[in-house]
Amino acid sequence: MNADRVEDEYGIIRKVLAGEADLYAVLVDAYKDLAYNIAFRLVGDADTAKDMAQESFIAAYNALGDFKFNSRFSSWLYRIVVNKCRDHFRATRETVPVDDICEDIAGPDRTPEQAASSRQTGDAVQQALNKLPPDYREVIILKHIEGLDYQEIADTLGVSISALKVRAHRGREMLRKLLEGMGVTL
Amino acid sequence: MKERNELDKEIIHRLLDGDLGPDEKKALADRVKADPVLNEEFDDLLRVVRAVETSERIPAPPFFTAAVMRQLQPRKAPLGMRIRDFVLKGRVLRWNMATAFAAMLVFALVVTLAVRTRNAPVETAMIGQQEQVVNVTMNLHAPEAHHIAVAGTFNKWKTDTHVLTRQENGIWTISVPLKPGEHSYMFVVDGKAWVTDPDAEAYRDDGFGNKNAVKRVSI
Amino acid sequence: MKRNKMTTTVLKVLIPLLLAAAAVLGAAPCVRAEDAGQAHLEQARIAVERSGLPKESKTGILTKADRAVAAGVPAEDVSLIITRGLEQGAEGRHVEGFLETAAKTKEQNLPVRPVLDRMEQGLAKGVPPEKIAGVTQRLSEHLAAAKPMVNKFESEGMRSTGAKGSDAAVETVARALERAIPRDAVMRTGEHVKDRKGSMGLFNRAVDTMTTFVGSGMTAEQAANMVHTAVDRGYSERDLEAMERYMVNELRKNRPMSEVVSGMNSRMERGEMLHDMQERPGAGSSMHSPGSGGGMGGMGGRR
Repeated sequence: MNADRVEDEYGIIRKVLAGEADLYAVLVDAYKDLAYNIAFRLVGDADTAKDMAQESFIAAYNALGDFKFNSRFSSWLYRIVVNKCRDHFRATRETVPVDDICEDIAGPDRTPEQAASSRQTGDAVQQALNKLPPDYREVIILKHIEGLDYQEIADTLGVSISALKVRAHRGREMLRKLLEGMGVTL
Repeated sequence: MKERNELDKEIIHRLLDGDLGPDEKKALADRVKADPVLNEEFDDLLRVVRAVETSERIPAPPFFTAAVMRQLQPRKAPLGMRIRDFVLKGRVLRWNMATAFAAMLVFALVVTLAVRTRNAPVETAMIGQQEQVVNVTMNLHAPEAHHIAVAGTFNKWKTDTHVLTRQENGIWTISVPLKPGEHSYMFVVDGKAWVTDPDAEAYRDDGFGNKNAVKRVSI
Repeated sequence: MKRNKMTTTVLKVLIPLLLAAAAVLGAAPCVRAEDAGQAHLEQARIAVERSGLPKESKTGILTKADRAVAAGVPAEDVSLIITRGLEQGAEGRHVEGFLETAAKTKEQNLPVRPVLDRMEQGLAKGVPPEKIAGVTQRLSEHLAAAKPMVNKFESEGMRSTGAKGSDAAVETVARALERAIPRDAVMRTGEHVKDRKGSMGLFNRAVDTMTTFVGSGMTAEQAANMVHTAVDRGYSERDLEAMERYMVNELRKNRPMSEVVSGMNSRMERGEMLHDMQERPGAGSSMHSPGSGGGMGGMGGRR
């Protein structure tokens, strides 16, 4: 993301704020895949992800007056998407106590061959991600799928870097055990 | 032993975090080589992270942007600013005999046409009775398209008579005069893809497995 | 310098405008409908002659075309079906079949517009001619079944706005039958409308809405129940249209149909007239907790 692109974005945002609402479509187009992808990785199902992503853009538009022109629109958007997904978790009471998850991991009920033949690694990764507690999931996705550094993640989630690292470490361990339990060879 | 194992794992994680200096990396590499159990742990974790990092980026579903844009409340520049701009904007009117003459001709033409239309016979091939029509706007957000037309009951599904115009933001638009009643239609993108309007108020099966969009027009 | 440029620009716009206007005025004939019809048929004849079809096919098509026009099918549509059919590479027998179906439909005094529209649509969309033939043949049969049903209600006093009104109802009933909505459900809808002293227009709308609901995923029973309840509660045509829009909007949010159905039913129970209930932000959204969006204040911003 170079300086020119950021300037272009600021220009577009200013124009939208001045009344050229149609131009917002340019931002939506530029970041729709990013938003949808994060939402999908976080919530694990396509329909909800679409809702989350769309609502995030709408929320961003409505709050555009609060955008401080000192960061990227994408960072701001990340934060909104993650928060929307967190609200979704709360509403659907998705948070599962960590102990329950650990129990879930043990004991594959199918042979590795069966597992390998019936799903792609990609699906397996998403299924494993779905089983992580939301805070672990968030860090793993932002760090290892979106490629953000810890500072950016801290700014996005409003959590300290040290706390994030702890979540990342535990998240990775859990993922490993989950994938092993699912009998998936990587 | 267990403690040692935990410490080692922690270092692997720090490696994955990008927090290890070159010396620490070397030290870790040596220990991993020497210890098969650690080696396996290291491999496993690395593979997991790689699998996550290389997972497919899933594109947003079609018409995502159109759906978002449809739900936005229109934003206006402050009224004062708009009025001020309108009133204070500099305007220049230049003319010469040629342009004045041309303008006169156009004026005469318009008057003639207006008079002729009033006197035209009731039956024409296209519109039939002198019926009221309503101008209906149809839009489709399709920045990657090169040509879009709309075909429907109002033009006997011709794909070349009602062509949309592309706007700057990738939204294609057209205004179609429609008689009161129901009209089914679909967009035709780049001459070959039949696309259902995602923003229609109603839909109807076309009998061949597709969904037509429906516009209901009333005076 | 600026002056010259301005003049040139104005002239560049005006002169083509003037020329175009002259061409339009000079060339646009005010044709009478009859002459136009002849012109269309002539167009069709030329298209047939130029096609690579065998002689018997050509004769067959032109004969069927005459029959269709004689029966009252508009010449423009006859011509369009022939030319479009040939363009799409349909065989002679298919084109003949289309014309015959159209002619027969008209000869039975059934509304022919839906059949013609279906053919023109199918050909434009590149649907295989055999499929078009089958679909339109069946549509014609459904129209034949629908007509006595509509006549029955008309004779029992359901007001209609003349031939146009009952034709519309026949078409709508035919489409409902096409969607495999049981005859019985359609007849019961008519009974409910009659009980409310509703018009043919309301019956038309009610059946259409029922068909739309089924087409969107409701079972015939769910759709019928919902529409009958609405009619019983005195919902108008506009209210039924609003129900359709409401459903479309809810489905767009990816709500499962079962949830949409129960949402609509409970609204009706509360006596809410849906056409006042255009989509409001947050209306009907039960999945997401309110007051979300904390931290939207941008980097370092605070609310």
